[in-house]
Amino acid sequence: MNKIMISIITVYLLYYAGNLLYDLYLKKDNSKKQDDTEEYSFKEFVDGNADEITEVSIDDVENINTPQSFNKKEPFSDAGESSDENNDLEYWRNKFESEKDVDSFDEQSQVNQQPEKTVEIAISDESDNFQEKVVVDQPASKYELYQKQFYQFLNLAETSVQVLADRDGCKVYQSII
Amino acid sequence: MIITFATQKGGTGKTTLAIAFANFLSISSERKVNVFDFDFQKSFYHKWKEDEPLDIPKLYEVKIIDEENEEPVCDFENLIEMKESDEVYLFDLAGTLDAKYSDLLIYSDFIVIPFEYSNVSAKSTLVFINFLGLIESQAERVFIRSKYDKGYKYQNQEGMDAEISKYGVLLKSPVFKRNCLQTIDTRKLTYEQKYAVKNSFLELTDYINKCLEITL
Repeated sequence: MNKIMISIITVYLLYYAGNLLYDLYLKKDNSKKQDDTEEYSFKEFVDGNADEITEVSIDDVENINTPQSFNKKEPFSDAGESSDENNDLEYWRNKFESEKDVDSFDEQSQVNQQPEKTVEIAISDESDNFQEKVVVDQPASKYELYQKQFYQFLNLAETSVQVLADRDGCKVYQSII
Repeated sequence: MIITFATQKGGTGKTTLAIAFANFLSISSERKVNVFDFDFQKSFYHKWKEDEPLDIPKLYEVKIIDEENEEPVCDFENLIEMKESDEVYLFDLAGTLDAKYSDLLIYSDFIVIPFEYSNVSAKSTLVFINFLGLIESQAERVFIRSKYDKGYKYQNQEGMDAEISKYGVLLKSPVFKRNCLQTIDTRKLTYEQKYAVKNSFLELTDYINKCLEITL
């Protein structure tokens, strides 16, 4: 056991000594590079092109040379994003309106039950008197509702019949209402 | 009283039976019979008009109800007046249900429903029964077997009779398939015609008498 412990400690000390030697002699010293500063100057560029650019027009911008490797395919298209946004707006608008219709259903049914009364005031040319005319708009949907209910009943009556038995093709039907 | 002949399917002999019953009542009863043809085909009315040249006197008047003349059935008071009258108001409806029939079907005293045992007729009879239930018709339903062939065994007769009997009265006597009924007119019943319908109609009038406690 002692031999094992001694050998482990020996290996560790050798490893530690090796690291010390590496840091002292072999490792490159990069600390000096961080302190190095490079100075760039546009002095030569300014001196060389001082008189050439006097005015930049829209044509200059449009005809500007761009790198051949210019990536024309944008990873995220703005057009697609805006259409998605429009779809979202349309979706939310429809949803809002449908919810509003549901919320105001009771109110609408009450309104439909009462005929709308509108008062029209017309001026008679002959008598120069004001004539007050009350126009009562009868709910046109009353007959339609009657028809609709009739067809609902008829449809329900037709769909509420099922075959009870089939005897050689002669069927016995029953009502399931 | 209001007696209406109606089905949900055409071709079951509804108008023929209505003519026969109107003739039968006019001959056998002292009550005045008024017939209204509510079928858009106006078969009953046309038959009645065809018979005008005949020497035999009229048994009853036939009026048509169409878009121009809907008053008898559109006015609720009219319907009630007819319902409470001692006279017989007999309506013949079309083989296709329409919204305009609803009030009449609700307030009729009796609805006579001819039917056959064919699959189409059997099913449409159940549909008509359902419809009468949905509109909450107050009328007594009377089912009458029409164009019955006594030489044929209808496999579904027992089942359909049991089903139909739940919703009204099924007359025991059928109206047999007889050629003499094809030539019926609105002025008379021949011996053969009377024989063809007598049992069924006697049963029907007995039922009406029993329900309304009257004598037709």
